[in-house]
This record gives sequence, C-alpha cells and structure tokens, in this order.
Amino acid sequence: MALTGMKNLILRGVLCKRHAALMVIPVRGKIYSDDYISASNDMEDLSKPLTENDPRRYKKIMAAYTEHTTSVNFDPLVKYFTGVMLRKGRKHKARDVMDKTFENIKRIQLEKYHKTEGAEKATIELNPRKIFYDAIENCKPVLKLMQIVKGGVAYQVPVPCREKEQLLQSIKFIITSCKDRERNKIPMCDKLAYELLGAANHEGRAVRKKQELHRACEANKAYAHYRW
Amino acid sequence: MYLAVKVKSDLFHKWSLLDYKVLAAQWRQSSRLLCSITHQPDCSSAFSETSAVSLPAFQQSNHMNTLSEQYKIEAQREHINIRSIFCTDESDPTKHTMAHEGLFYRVPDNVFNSHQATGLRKDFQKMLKAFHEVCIMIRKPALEVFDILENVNFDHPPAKIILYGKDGCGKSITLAHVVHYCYQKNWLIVDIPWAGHWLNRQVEIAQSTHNQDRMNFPFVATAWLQLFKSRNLQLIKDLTTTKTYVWSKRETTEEGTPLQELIDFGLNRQRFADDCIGALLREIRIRASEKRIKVLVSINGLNAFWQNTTQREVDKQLIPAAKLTIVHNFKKMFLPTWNNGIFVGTVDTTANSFSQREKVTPLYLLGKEGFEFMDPFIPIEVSNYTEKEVHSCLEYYIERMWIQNPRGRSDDGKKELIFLSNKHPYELTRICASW
Amino acid sequence: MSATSVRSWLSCRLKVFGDSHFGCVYSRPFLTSTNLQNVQENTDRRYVKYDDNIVETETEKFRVFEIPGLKRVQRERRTQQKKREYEAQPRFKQMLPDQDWTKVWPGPATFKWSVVPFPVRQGFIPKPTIAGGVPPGKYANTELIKIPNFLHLTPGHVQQHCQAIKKFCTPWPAGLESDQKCHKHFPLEVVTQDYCFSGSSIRDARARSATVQFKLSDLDLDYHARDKFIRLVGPRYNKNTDEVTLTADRCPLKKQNYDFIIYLLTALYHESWTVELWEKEKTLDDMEKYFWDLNASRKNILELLKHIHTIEKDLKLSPNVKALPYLPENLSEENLLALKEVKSYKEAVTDLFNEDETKENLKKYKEAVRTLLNIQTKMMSPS
Repeated sequence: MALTGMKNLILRGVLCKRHAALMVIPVRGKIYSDDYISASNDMEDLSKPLTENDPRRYKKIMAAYTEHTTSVNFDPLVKYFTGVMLRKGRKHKARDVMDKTFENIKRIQLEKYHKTEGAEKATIELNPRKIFYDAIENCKPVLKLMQIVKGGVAYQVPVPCREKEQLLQSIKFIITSCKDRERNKIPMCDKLAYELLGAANHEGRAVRKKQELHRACEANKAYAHYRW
Repeated sequence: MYLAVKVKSDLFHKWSLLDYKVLAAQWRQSSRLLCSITHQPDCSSAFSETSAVSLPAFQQSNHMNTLSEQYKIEAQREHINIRSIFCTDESDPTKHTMAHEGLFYRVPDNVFNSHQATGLRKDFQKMLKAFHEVCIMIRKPALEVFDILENVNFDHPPAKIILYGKDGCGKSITLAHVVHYCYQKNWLIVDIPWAGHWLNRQVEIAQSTHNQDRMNFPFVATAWLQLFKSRNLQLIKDLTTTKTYVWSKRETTEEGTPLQELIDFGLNRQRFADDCIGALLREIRIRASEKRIKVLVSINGLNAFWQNTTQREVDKQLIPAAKLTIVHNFKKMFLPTWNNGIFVGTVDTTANSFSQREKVTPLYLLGKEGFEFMDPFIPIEVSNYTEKEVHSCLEYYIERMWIQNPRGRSDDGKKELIFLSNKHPYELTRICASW
Repeated sequence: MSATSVRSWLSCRLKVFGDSHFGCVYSRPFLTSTNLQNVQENTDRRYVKYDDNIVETETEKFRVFEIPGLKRVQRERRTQQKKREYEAQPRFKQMLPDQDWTKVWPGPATFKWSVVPFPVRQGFIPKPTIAGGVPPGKYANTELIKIPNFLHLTPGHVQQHCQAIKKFCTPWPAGLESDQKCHKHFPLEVVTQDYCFSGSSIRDARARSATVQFKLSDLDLDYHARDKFIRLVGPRYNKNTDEVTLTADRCPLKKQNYDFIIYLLTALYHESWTVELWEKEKTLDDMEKYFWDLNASRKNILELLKHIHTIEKDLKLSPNVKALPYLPENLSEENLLALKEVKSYKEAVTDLFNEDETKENLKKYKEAVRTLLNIQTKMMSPS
C-alpha cells in the first residue's frame, strides 16, 4: 500500500525522484514475509527433537532452496560461488567446474606436500575448502567507487562496501581474472584453481584487482564528502 | 504431509534397485523435500514417527557401521599404523590369496611405469600421482584369474579369459594386476594396452606389401613394437627366428636372427612394421610351443577387433578392423595352433561404436562373429565394490589425504559417499575428488 | 399513469405512425374504452384514499413545514411477519432403510439430491480455508448433476433385469463349463462391432471390420510350417501370448470381411505346409534362432577337442592330471557330440544366443567351458 501511495505521489509531482530512495524497494524474488524462518539443511540439527521454545513449533518455515542439500559436503558459499560463475543457465556445468577446481587444488597441494620435507610439511594447507575461503577473504575490497553527479560533473566517490557487496565483488574479481583472452585454451577449472591458490597467498590477478580498486579510492579521497 | 512422507519412504525403498546415477539425482532431490518436511510445524507430532522412514537410506542402515567402526577401534586399541588394515605388505601378486581380498598392495614404480601405465585412464594416473604411490586393490576377479592361470593345462591350446563389466568397475586395473602377476612369473607379455586406440586414430594408412587386401598402420605398428621391445627385451634376448623372412628383393631376415634384430628391422623400416609384428608373433608362438617361454596375451578392449576403424577406403567405406594387418596377426594368437600361452582380455563398451554400447556383456560387445571366433572362453565379471572393498578404499583415500573435508572422514561422510557412488569404483573416485 | 398522460402518449405514437398503415392497425385494439375506464377508476380511488389521510392530520395539529433532509425522519419499520410457506421435507428423509431401491430409482436419471439417501460430496474448493476444506455436499450440487451416475444399475436392478429376460434365454450348453473347454471346442474368437445412433443414418464405417483371434498352438503345424506361418503373419503374431490376430476391413460388409479372414487363414495354413524350392537357400543369417549345429561354434569345439586329443596322445608318457579325461578313443563326430560336457556346452551357447545374456546364462556358459576344458579351480565362481 505504502509503495503504491508513494508511486502516486511521485506521479503527481509531490515527491521528486530524489525522494525515491525513501521508498521500500522490494527484494527481487522474495515472496516470504518476515514471520517466516529459513529452512535448515543440517542433518544433525534436523535429527534433534524440537525443544519447547523452538521457533519451528510456532513459526512458518520457508521452502528449502532447490540447490541446497543435506549432504555432508554441502557448503553455502560454494553454492553461491557456483551461482555467480554460472553462465547461460548451465548449472550442471558450473558445478562440474567447481568440483574439478577443488580436485585440482587438492592435487597441486598434495604434490607440494609430498615434495617438501620435514617440519614444513605441516604448514601446507591441503583442504581446498579452506583455501577457497581464504582466497575469497583476501579478495574482499573495503571500499568501492560510486559515480555521483554534482553540478553536471560525474565524480568517482569512494564509498565503504557493505559485507554482502564485498563478498560478491571478491567472487567477481576471482572469476573475471580467470576469464581473460590470453588463457582461452586452458580449462576454467585449472585457471580457477591457480587463481584461488594465488589469492589465498595474497598473490595473483584477483588480489591485484582489489589493490587497484583501493588505490583508486585512495586517489579520489578528496571527493569523499560528495557522498552526501 | 503424511502422503509426502509415505511416498518418500517408498522412494527410498526403490533406491536399492536403481542405477547409481539415478540414485544420486533422486537423493539430491528428495533431501530437499526432506528439509521442508521435517521443518513443518504441523507435522512436529508426526516427526518422531516419520523420522525413521524419512531419513536417507544411507543414514538408516546400521550394518554398514560395523566395518568402519572396526577400523577405528583397531586403530585406537593397538596404536598401530592404520595402513596395515587396508593395505597388505605382500607386493608379489603370485602370493595373493583370498585372504588378501579387498586390500591394497603396493606396485613397484618400475613395474607400473613399464607394464601397466599405458593402458589406464588418464585421470586414474593423475590420481596416482597425487597419492604419490601406486596401489592396486586385490579383487576377486583378479584372484579368480590367478586361480585359473595356476590350474590351466599349458599343454592345451591357450585358454581365453574375458573380463567384462560396467564402465569404471576396474576391468583395466584387474588386467594390470594380472599383467603384474605374469611379470612376476617371468612370462612374456604380449600386450595391447587399449585396442580401441588403434581404430580411432587418424594416422597414415598404407596397403600391405604382403597381401593386397590388407591395410597397414605403420605408425601404430612401430609404436607397438617399441612398447614390446621396452617391456620384454630381457626375455627375448636368446630367441632367434626359425624361418627366413623375405621382405623385398633386397631385404630379408635370415633364419637364426635374434628376435631383437627383427624388431629393430620393423622399427627402422616402417613399411614392413605390420608384417614384422606378424613374424614376431609367429616366432613367439613357435617358441612357446617349444616350452622355451610362457606367454600372456593381454588385450584391453578386445571387441575393437570386430569393429570398423574411423578411416575410409577409396570407395568411402569405413575400413573394418579385420582388414588391418596387425589385427589379423593378433587374431592368430587365439587359434588353437600353439600352446604354453594364455589369453586374458577385456571387452569394453568404449571400444565399440556409439550405436553399440547398450550392454556390457561379452556376446553383445563381441558380436556373433567375434564370439564364435573367441569361444570357448571363460567370462569373468568385474562388478562394483563389495562392502569390505569400499570401506578399505575409503580408508585408503583418507590415509592418502584424498578426502580433505573433515566431515567427509566421519562415519556420516563415508556412508554418504558409499550411498552416492553405489559402490561403483570410478564414480567413487569422482565424488571423492571434490571432497 | 393518469388517463391524460396515457392519452398524450398515445397521440404522440399516433403522430409518429399516423400516416402509416401499420400505425393505425397497432393502435386500434389498444384504444378500447373499457381499458381506459379501468385505468381511471383505479387512479381515482388511490388519490381519494390519500386525501382522506391528509384531512385527518390537518384537523389535529398545526402543520409545521419540515425542510426535507434537515431532520432525520424515523421511518416506520414494516413488520415482515410473512408467514413461512410450508416446505416439503426432502424425500430421502422419509425413506426406510429396507425399502426397494429399484422402485425409487427405476431407470437412468440425473442426480437428484432429495432422492439419494446417502451423503455425497463432490467439487473443487480453491482454498483449504473455504468451507472448512470440505467439498460441497449433495444439495444443489451441479457437479453431481453433471457426472453420469449408476444408481439405476445396482445389484437389485441387475437381478430384476435378469429375471425379466430369463424367459428368452436357453440353458448353457453342457460340456462348456470351463474356459478351457470353451477354448477347446471354439478355438476361434471372432470380434465384430455394431454401432447405435440416434442420428439420421444407422450406418457406421467401422462396423464392417472383423477380427479373428486364435492360439497358434491350436493349429496342426510342424516346426517348419509353424516357422513359416509366423514369418507369413509377421507382426500379427504375439510371441508372448502365442496368439495370432487377423483383422480385415477392406470389404464393404462385415460378413465379407469375416469370410475373407477365414479364407486367409485357410490359405496361410496350407501355404505354411508347402516347402518351396527356394527355401533350401536359407542361410545362417535367415535363421529364426541360433542353431548350434549349423554354426561355427560346433566346428570350433570339435576341432579344439581333436587338437587336444592329438596333443595328449603325444604326451602319453607323462600323464597329466589336467588332461581331458572324458575324451573317448574314437573321435568321431557322433561320439564327441554325445559327450555330456559337449552337450551342456551346446545348451549354454544356445541359451546365450536365443535367450538374453543374463547372469545365469553367462554363469552357465562359464561353468560349461570350465568343465569342457577341465579347469579345476579352487575358488567358487562369483555369483
């Protein structure tokens, strides 16, 4: 109701476009109201009996996500990453690339592990999941550049990044740095494996992209007050 | 709600009968359903009743527990290296018995590189590289072959053993195990690592000099000669030819020439390489009948011999494999004209053309002609892992750090892996790869 | 409507239609004097009554002009004490549990809620919250009216029908008590169709076709004739049920089609018994199934056994436990083929070809080969 009322006001010219930000913009695809709680896919959690005050007793529950499973190997971040990497709706392909990436990471690390001797052996991280998480963490930018028009001039204004934006930007850095023309013939899973391994060690193109962004933000520091 | 649960329990019941891929897909689907069901507040009263049926099958069955628990208990109690539970120290396949069934054994690197590596899948070899060692599981089909090898009458014409089974069940690896056995016994190994490879390659073809109807694959022939030479040089050192071979007006191989020279001739004169193989095999047959050597003929993807190649003749017809000189020469090894040898081979769907891959059984894959050519042979099925084998395989993967997910190493993880792969060896490696 | 207004209205009408002939014709019967009078009388009486009331109120009080809409006037509420009409109870309420249903519902009829004594529900409810999630009952339920009902076909009805037509029936022939006996005496099953119409034509093109079904085993055929018969009828023979189905619809009449099928059957039968010259040219590829005796497998085995025999003869000095003990001295073909081992091998190969390559058949083949070559293994073969 509030939304349509607001729209009418805009149409009648009472509110100008600048006020549009005040409006509540509906989240795309969200059909549940706030009194729903999300479904769990943790088998351990599900097998426990419900307690007296468990909200599941009285609250409504959203339908589980299509791609979520109760598998022991399930990881929401990996699913998210797969979704961002997905092209032309070929989810199966994207999932396959993801699996092969983990396999490649494991293979590279194991090879390194067997080569090294002595105490250094223990320092090598073998778990591809861990490397994956580290890589994403290392590529998260703190700031971003936002185009703001003031007096007919567009300024690139550095703005702090929200948590969710950081995550998406970090994933995008990693994926786009794999998709360059020079290395077209190398399979995506190989490139991604190297990129993730590099990013986990603060190396590689994805991390460089993040640093470039930070540098640009630093350079445009003078415009920071244009944000308001 | 009740209905949904009921239907699902039926579904779980059917799972045991279905193919592993279908299973995995269904499992993924219904585990979604499961989240939504068990969460519904209306069904919380029914929750305790239905939870037994609505849990996936792999989390229900308790009997699977026992073996893995056994592993765990033994490892804790005796403070020993857990490797001894799923791995045997006996690396000599001639000493493998039923007691070793389901255990891994270490193959010496030199044997693997010289005798086994060429015929195996690339991703399997990659995995071995990551494992940093070559271990092969001792499985029942291989032990059965050994048993036959020990009890067969070598005075008779060569017995034929054909391994068959679904793709990825381990036919090639069983064959590799058999090759190692024969290597250990110091037999001559006449081996085609993958016969399908001969047909699918676009290489130069030439008309045979010996018989106008046949076609030569000089590159393939020289490659095989090279392979044979690298494997069996020690064994054929003392053997000489029994006949004078006239290749052309100027080139002959005199009687009494060492076989090594015959091979070298084939390698140097590509034009005669195919016929040189024929001569070599003939000499081997004669020497074997004289009881000077024992011979193992092993062919991976035998059914390719009765297929068409991918190359065309002048009249645009596909060349049948039977027209190739090398195939013709190798087929002579199956005739009852010699003894003191044995044939062990596999039939594989991937060696057939795409339209003939429906079944995995020998008659279907060989065709009527091939079957009648080969019979009587002993078919041995290589099937999915047994309970013991799959557990020992998983333990091995964990020990080799191939399963990195800490939850994957738990009992739940193992159960899920077993369930998802349905104990299919190749599928298990694929699923484990991303864990 | 006052008399004047009626009149003026009429005059208008007349003005419009005055010149036309139709106008006059229509207006005449309408303008009778009695009609007009009645109208006037009614209106007059009403006005008088109304006037009387006014006079009465005028005498009691001084009339104050009330501006309409300013004050809320309380309307006199009409007392609606309309007497309810007596509603007859639905018929099913008076029904006895042991009544004769065939009299209540004698023939096919649309569903009638008041007659059906049991509760029925039918229909779609869009949401479970509506009407307590229960489909509507039988009262005024159009869904129940739409669907066909079988309330006229209860066991009682059927019994009565049977009783009624019993006088036209003859007793069931003796000797045809069971299906097997029926099949034995009447092996041909003829299927024809008739179509009824309420339209202008009583013909239907489909009614001319005739079908004859029978079991192939009922025909007197030898192996060759049976095989030829099957090849001749082609897809009309069902291998699983051993049934042949012949259908004809080319001729215009049912009788002609039936006669044709019988003719065809006769022709097929006699044709399958004849052996043509060209049938001798049948090659292995033309065979209906695998014959071990004609194929290369037989030749292979005999050659192999002979070969082994010569080898063993040469090695006579050093007897071998792994030799073939069952081989006879005289290696004629009859002797070899009569061997138990060769027979079981033959059976196994034939099964592999003619039946499917099942696990059992493969196992059988494996065992047959093992006994044939006398490979004694310690391990049991895996199932």
